[in-house]
Amino acid sequence: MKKEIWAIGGGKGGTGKSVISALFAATAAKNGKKVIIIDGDLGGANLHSLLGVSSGKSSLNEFFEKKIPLSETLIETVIPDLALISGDMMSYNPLSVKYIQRLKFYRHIKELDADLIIIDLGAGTALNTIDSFLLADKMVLVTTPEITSIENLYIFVKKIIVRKIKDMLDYEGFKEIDKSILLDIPKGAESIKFTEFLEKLKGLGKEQEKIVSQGLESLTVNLVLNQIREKKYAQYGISLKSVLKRHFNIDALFSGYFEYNESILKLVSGDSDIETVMIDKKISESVNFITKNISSGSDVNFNELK
Amino acid sequence: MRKKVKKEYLKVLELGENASRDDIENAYSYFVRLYSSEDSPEITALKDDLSITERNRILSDIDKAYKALVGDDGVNRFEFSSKIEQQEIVLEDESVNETENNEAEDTEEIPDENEPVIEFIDTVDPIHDIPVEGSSNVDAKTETSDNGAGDEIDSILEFPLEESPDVDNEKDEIKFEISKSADPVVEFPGEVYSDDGDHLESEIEKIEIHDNINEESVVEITGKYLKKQRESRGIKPRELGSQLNISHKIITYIENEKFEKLEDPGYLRWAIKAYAKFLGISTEKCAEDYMRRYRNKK
Ligand SMILES: Nc1ncnc2c1ncn2[C@@H]1O[C@H](COP(=O)(O)OP(=O)(O)OP(=O)(O)O)[C@@H](O)[C@H]1O
Ligand SMILES: [Mg+2]
Repeated sequence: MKKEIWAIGGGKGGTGKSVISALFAATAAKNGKKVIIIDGDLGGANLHSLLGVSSGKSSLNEFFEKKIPLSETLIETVIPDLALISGDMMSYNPLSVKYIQRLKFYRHIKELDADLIIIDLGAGTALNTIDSFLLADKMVLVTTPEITSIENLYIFVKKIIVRKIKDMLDYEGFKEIDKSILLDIPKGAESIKFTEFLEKLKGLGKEQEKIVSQGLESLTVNLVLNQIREKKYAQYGISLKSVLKRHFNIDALFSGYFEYNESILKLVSGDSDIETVMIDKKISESVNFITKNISSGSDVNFNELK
Repeated sequence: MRKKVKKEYLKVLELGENASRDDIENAYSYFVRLYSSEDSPEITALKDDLSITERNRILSDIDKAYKALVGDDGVNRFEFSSKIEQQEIVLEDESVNETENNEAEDTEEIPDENEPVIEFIDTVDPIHDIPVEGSSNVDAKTETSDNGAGDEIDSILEFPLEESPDVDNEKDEIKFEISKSADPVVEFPGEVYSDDGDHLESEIEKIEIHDNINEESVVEITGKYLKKQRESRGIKPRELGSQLNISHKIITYIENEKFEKLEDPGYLRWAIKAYAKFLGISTEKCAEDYMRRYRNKK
């Protein structure tokens, strides 16, 4: 079986990234896959509590500070075949992680022995979040229908595109561009007018234009909507897919949506556990539908959303 | 149309290969409303990142895809078209370059009261709900509980009449009173025509359509052009207004391109189409040209 890395991101805090990561991972493990879930939330790690692990050990701390191989920092969860790499780092300053260390971390992730590796990214669009996202085979964006959530999603998307193109240009030796157009990017990506940015980059020359196009073509994101209270909001998935294609020039797949569900609230508050939540028919159906779509690269079309 | 090309057009409308004719209509109106709307979160969240020029480009891509698809199976989207006309269109379709066959569509643009115009009520519904099987009625009930769909139609239809007193005071700013909670399924322009549809139809028949088609397909439709066309028919703004159920003031604003008075693009688009329909010129081309001017100058 081919190993796959899925990253779950989206920018806005509290949209449900951790819950969805946990559900994806637990379901895959139940279906016989060997799964590792990584809590990439450097600030508010909470996967351990969702997965019935009493907090204590910090895998990332052991990896970065004590130089213990990542594969030896795995923590068992209540689900067999699902291991956690905890990001709980109370004693740990994420900003101190140097670029070189991060590269080492990414390399170790890729070398982990598992069928599926799920990275739960925290909120925000810090560089390490963006880089972890780009590392994945499947990039999953979670959003709710709220406008702030969608705004953050667009900023997130801008940053991954800018970062991706910058990496590719760097790699091909066009480093001087950093100073002219990519100045302060992706830090300032919120304020970039995206079409202008693309035009400028393409205007640099034939070869650069080709690289930019390749960069855009190489990006496909999977959209998952969460906390849908009325069915009509599920259509936002179709709108977002269209905007990502028409405006941002990247391929997007609308993988599906989760309804707003009280039992998810109970899971987070500690009044329920992951295995109970997985039995919920609506939740398990959504998880199966969405994960199947993500693995196979299929998605929901307008005519199917009835 | 080749299968692959068709698939590409369907993709523009976010449709799968098994999409039906109804799906195409639904998707088309959904996206036109989405991209021309000022209050759908998916678009407003882009803030000024999405320029007006880009919006228009996207809208015209969507339009192109729709026209190409609808012409595809040889079924004219206007029911009255005779079999012979349809066949001609099919032939034309195949001989024309795939991406340019919307021109063929333009020539068959003849006014008809069955024309689906719902997609242009773009500000009516902030969440641009589309008619989805079994759900639209429920939504209409829950969403517009104290402001039912029927009331919406009334307010839209009655609006021009309310304006009628103060005849020539152009300084009064007119605000279109289309509630944001209206049910988009309502086909209010159709309702407008059903009032005196016969009258309209006979007016249209009097006009020599073919003369106009040639001119109007090359000329950019401006307010001035509309005015000239109206005057050449010896019709006063007031007469036209009462025929179309549009305030004569709006007619004057449209003709003089007083865009600052024309606040609601959704209503404006509908009004332009009604005006074009009356003149017997292409409603699509007219709305496209005029709305482009509106967007660029506003
Ligand atoms: N489908 C849902 N129905 C009801 N509540 C939900 C749903 N999804 C998430 N929530 C609630 O939203 C809150 C945030 O969820 P979660 O911690 O998974 O978000 P997150 O995106 O990981 O947040 P952060 O960015 O802070 O890491 C939780 O209280 C959770 O119970
Ligand atoms: Mg989280």
